[in-house]
Amino acid sequence: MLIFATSDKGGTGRSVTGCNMAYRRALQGEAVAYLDFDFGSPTAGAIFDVPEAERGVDASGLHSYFTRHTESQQLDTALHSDSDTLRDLPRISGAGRLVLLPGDKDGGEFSISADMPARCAQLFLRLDREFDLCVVDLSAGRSYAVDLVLEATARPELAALTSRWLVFHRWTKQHILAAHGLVFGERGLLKAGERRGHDPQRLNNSVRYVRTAVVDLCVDQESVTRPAQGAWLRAYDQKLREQADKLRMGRARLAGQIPFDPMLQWSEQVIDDSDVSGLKIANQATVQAFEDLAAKLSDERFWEGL
Amino acid sequence: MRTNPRQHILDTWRAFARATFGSGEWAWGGRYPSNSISDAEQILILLYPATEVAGFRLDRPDSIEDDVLAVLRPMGSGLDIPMRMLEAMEQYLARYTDDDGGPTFTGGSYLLAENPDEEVKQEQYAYDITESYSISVTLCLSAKGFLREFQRTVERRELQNRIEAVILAMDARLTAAMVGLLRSFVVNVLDPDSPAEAVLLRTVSQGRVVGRTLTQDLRGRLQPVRDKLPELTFGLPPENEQMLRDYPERFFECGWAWGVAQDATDIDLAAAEGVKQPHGIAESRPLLHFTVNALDGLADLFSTRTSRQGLLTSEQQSLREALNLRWGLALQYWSTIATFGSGRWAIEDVPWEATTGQSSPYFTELVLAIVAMAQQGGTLSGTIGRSVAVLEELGQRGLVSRRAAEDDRGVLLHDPGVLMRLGGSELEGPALAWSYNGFAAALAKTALRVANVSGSRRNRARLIEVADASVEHLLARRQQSDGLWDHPANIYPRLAPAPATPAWDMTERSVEVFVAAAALVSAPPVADQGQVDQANNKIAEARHILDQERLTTPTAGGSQEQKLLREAEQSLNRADSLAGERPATAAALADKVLRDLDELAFARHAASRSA
Repeated sequence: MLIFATSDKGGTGRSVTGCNMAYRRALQGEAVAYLDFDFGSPTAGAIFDVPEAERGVDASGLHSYFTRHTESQQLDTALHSDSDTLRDLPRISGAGRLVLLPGDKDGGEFSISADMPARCAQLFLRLDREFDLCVVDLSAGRSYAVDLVLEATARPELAALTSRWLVFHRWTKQHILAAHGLVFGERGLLKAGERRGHDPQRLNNSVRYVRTAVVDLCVDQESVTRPAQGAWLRAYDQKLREQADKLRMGRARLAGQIPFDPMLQWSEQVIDDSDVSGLKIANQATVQAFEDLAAKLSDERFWEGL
Repeated sequence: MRTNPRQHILDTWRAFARATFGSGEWAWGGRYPSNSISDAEQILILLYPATEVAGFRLDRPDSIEDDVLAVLRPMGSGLDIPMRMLEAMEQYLARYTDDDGGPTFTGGSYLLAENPDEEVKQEQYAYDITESYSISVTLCLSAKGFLREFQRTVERRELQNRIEAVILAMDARLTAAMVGLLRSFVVNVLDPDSPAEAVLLRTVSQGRVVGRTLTQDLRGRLQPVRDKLPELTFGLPPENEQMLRDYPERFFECGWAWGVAQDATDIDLAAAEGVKQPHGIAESRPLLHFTVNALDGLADLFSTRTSRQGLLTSEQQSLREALNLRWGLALQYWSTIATFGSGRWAIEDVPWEATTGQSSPYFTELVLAIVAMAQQGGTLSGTIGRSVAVLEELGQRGLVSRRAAEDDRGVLLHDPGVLMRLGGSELEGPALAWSYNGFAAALAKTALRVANVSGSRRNRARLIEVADASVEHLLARRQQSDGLWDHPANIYPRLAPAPATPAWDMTERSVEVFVAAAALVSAPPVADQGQVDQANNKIAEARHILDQERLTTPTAGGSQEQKLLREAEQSLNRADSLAGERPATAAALADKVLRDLDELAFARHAASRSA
């Protein structure tokens, strides 16, 4: 299965959520590949704490795969990461592999040449045979990378492959509107997909949303110190929910809701249960949200939609 | 109010979800095998609060609040809950549709043989019951409203079609239920010198001499009802009208029988085309229990929500008009009898005696419920004070707000309940009876209903006290502190303990009480003109002093005084906007401003003295 992760704006927590979601799937026993398609500024290496890929690798990253026709590196995080969490993964019974396909350092955006979509499709096909799940982390906004994968997934050789889209956005009025525009706008995903031969309705059915950094009034009791503050937040949350529902981004299409976690604001990393129960630096609700999001990826009833 | 409707509904829903979805699928039936009434009750435990109370909506995944989601966990996620409701409705419709596709309204396991040694015959179980018509009206309207809203989130064609099919079937069921209610409405002309007439006259006379003055007076008061009876052109036998015309001195009673009346004729309106109209069994005489039950269902039919959401089809409108006429007549007839005369009213003479000869405090409660509905319509508002006293007495007599003495017969109201004979049923088998044990719930509902129309704060407080006591009684009758109903032995230890299975009838009645309490809570508080004037006076003085301060305080924006003045102005603007609806809150805001402003004046005063 292919999961494309995208967002309209930067700083939504798309990558950190995507990496944690991938880790959760690996924990549940799947072989997972994480593809850093954020060609301008690869960050997944930093989140997985892989020193040699911190800002992308020096050669043979995904950027080079497209522009220089090299093979792309596959870094098994259990071997290359400095994070104890990831290094321990193989020791957990039943866990699968988590492999990073990094971007290149100083890669930059590029325009699509004629052979790239086929090459991209080829890559997806190959990885789909090797892995149960491929998470493709696209950059923020409409980019060449988005066009490239739309073009590739429209190709007949990928017709049998399941592709799903996750659109990440923060829980504010502007971010909701921006994410809506990214999907439904004139230059949005659906229109762009239609031009490349996708059925817009089918494409829309494969899009779900992830709300990030949401103040959870049940968890963050400490940060909401005054009753009036709580009352306001609750009333405003209600308004945002109505807005999202109206824009067809409501619960029926909500794949996950990641609570605001101070730790992740400062350190974008993969967290696990020890950060919650041992060190107590992350919130249980955050780990639970990653777990729930990971479970949603293969919940067929959910993807069938209403 | 001690009652906390939101909490009680959540607790009930939690227990409901555990009991109904224990196996993952909707499990029908509980203490009694399922029937068309019990299954409707089971759905309405969720659907009724969901349609009536803000904060409990289930029709859109996004409208479900987080705490609601948490208690309904056994039903699944926010996405699953509306789906589950849809599935339950589909199953309900399939269960209560006969082989020819016509809706059925049978009483099933709720029917009892009057003599416990006899057995109810199979064909008797299949009788249509007025209660099923009435609850179907409520169910179908709520379901339609729910589905229309749910439909707006649904994108899949196949699911849209499913919803559309359920809406159509609900409409057919609603039409059939309305036809049933038309055919179970009866006018019973009393034979002169019959026992029934004697009871009626004794009821209205209240110790006065039953002579010509009284009967003429009563006839006069009932004349407006009598004048309208000929307008009832469907469902009733033509002899009825004949008799009323030929014998103007005869008394009558009107209301609903327990099922389609023996002498009911077919409804030949276009809307009723295709609706099966079986031959009636029920004796053609109104029973109070079924009358109030029918009126309760009809209240939903006439509600502003029903018309606002356009829940009725144009054919159903004609049935609605016909039912509206009957509703008005029943209200007028019973409230006339209940409040007849200038001395003590019949309603104050607890227990009420029905013309069948049976008497019970429950019947007083029923008549009071009708009076309360009439009060809601704006007439009879002068009767509220006396209603309050009667409700208080019922709370005591019915052992809701008072402990039971040993061998107290009042306990029988709650277990096994009031047994009412279903006249006419004896023709095809053993005589049947209907039992009702919801005295406490009905008391709470009526008290809350009267409180909603009462403009007097004192009456309202007394009514809330009655309702609170009844709710306390109801809550104590749950299995555990967070379980389902009904366990009267918790309150009356001499009773035999009930089985652990949930009784949906009592659970649904309790939910109705919570919904009524929520309606009262969400209405604006009672405010009288004196309070409003007082609040406005305070605001005016505060404004005046604020203006004076503004005149003298230097305008340096950052100063503490300027900050205080800006805050004061904001508070007063807020107070202004509240003065009409919440005068006490407005006055409190003005009080704070007055105190704050006086600190400035007092400080200056101190400075001038020390200088």
